[in-house]
Amino acid sequence: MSTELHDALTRASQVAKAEFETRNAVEVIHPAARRVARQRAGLRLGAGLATVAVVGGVLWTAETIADARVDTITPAAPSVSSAGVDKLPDVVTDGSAWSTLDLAVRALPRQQGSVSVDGTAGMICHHAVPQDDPRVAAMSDDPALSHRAVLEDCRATWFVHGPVTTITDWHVTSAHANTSPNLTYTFSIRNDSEQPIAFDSDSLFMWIETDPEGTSDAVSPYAHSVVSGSMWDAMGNVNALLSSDAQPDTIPAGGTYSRSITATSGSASGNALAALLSEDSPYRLTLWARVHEDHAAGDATYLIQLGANNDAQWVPTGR
Amino acid sequence: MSDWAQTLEALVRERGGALYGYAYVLTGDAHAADDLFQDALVRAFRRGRGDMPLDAAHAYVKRAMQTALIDGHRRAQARPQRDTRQADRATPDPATASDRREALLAAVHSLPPRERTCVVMRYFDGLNAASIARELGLAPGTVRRYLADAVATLSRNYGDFGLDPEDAYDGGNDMEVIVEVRGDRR
Repeated sequence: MSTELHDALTRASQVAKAEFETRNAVEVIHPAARRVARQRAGLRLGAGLATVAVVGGVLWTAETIADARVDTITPAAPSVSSAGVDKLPDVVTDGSAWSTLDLAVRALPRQQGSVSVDGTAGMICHHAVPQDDPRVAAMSDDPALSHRAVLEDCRATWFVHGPVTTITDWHVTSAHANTSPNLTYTFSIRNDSEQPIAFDSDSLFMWIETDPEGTSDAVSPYAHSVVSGSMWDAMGNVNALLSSDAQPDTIPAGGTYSRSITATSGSASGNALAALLSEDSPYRLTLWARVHEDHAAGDATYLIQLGANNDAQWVPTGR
Repeated sequence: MSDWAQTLEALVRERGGALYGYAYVLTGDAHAADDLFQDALVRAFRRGRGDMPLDAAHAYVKRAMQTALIDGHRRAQARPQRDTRQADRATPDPATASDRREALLAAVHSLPPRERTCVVMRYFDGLNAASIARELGLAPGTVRRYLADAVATLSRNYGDFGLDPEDAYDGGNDMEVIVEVRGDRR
């Protein structure tokens, strides 16, 4: 390591630190606190408006995303009609993979509790600034990631006659009795659509859902989380996520894709994964990925559920 | 006073010097460091309960500085921009500079924001490329490319001051920062 460069940076930091410590800290605290207070007030106002929208049955919001677990346990009657499907453009079968444009023209709002036999569950995540970070953060609680779109702000969507896939084989192994709780999901996905499906390799994640009636408070936060090798790192830091320049994985039409992903956490106690695995309740896993775009920076990110036509796969305790 | 306000005040009073020093290392300018520090504080406290331990708050603000610098560059790409690679143009001469250290710092601060952030994280924080990538949400290969480009630029313009290209992207330590996870959104 370059000692000269390290020394130069260290010296500069020390000089700046000494200069700062001669100042009145209030000159920094008050302006920052005022800006934070304004932004937090704005967020509260936005949350209130979102709640009103939910009451009106217009859109999913953060609350309904959080409550999506309920839907998967007791799904309501089908609420998505195929009416209008014939008006959609014909499926492109020139060998090109499903694109966000293909999906955009098939997008219909997915309301809480709805199921669909001809739609692929998806989410469209909009970014505040078109050239903003194209990734999606798993949670909004991490303030350092607050400049990214978060899942709770994504719009739940059906992609009618979209990329249909089936999970043909799967199994789960988990361990929580040692110092490093982990859960591994091994699966095979078949592409039943007539086009290849290309998704960002690093974006594939599993979503763990628990029965809200059968789990403790300790598990609840975890049930709201999405986890994967990239989203739940060894330090227990829910971090993002979907690299904008990731290479795509492609499942050809009729082809199969097999992989394992593992969720881990750093310590055996005091974390949600350990709590989940030690609970005497089943949980459900679903797989999601971001549709690959060569130029990912933009104002929307498209997530699709893989194996969406499968029934819920509840994993009993002890699997 | 709310939890976040108490944490913010304690953080600035107890860790403000170190965080401002880090902002200065990233920007090379006192006013820019002030702005970056303020922006990072706002990013770190505008969501969540804010009643985090000081170590976690320190880590959040530090990371927010890094991502703010990166994001500023990303957003700037959407607008007409000037060439920021001043290191390739106006090259101070270390031989005649009153202080070689100052010349080296000027060189670092002339690098584009992404390269500069990676250099600071590598040579000030001592992180390896994998840890930098994890922290910034970039691919490890991308970070190695930034480091390699930065080292090449610095070496080309400032000669041998001990930078080893191999060490730049293969050396360093794994990150040990633990950030508290709070999953309850309500």
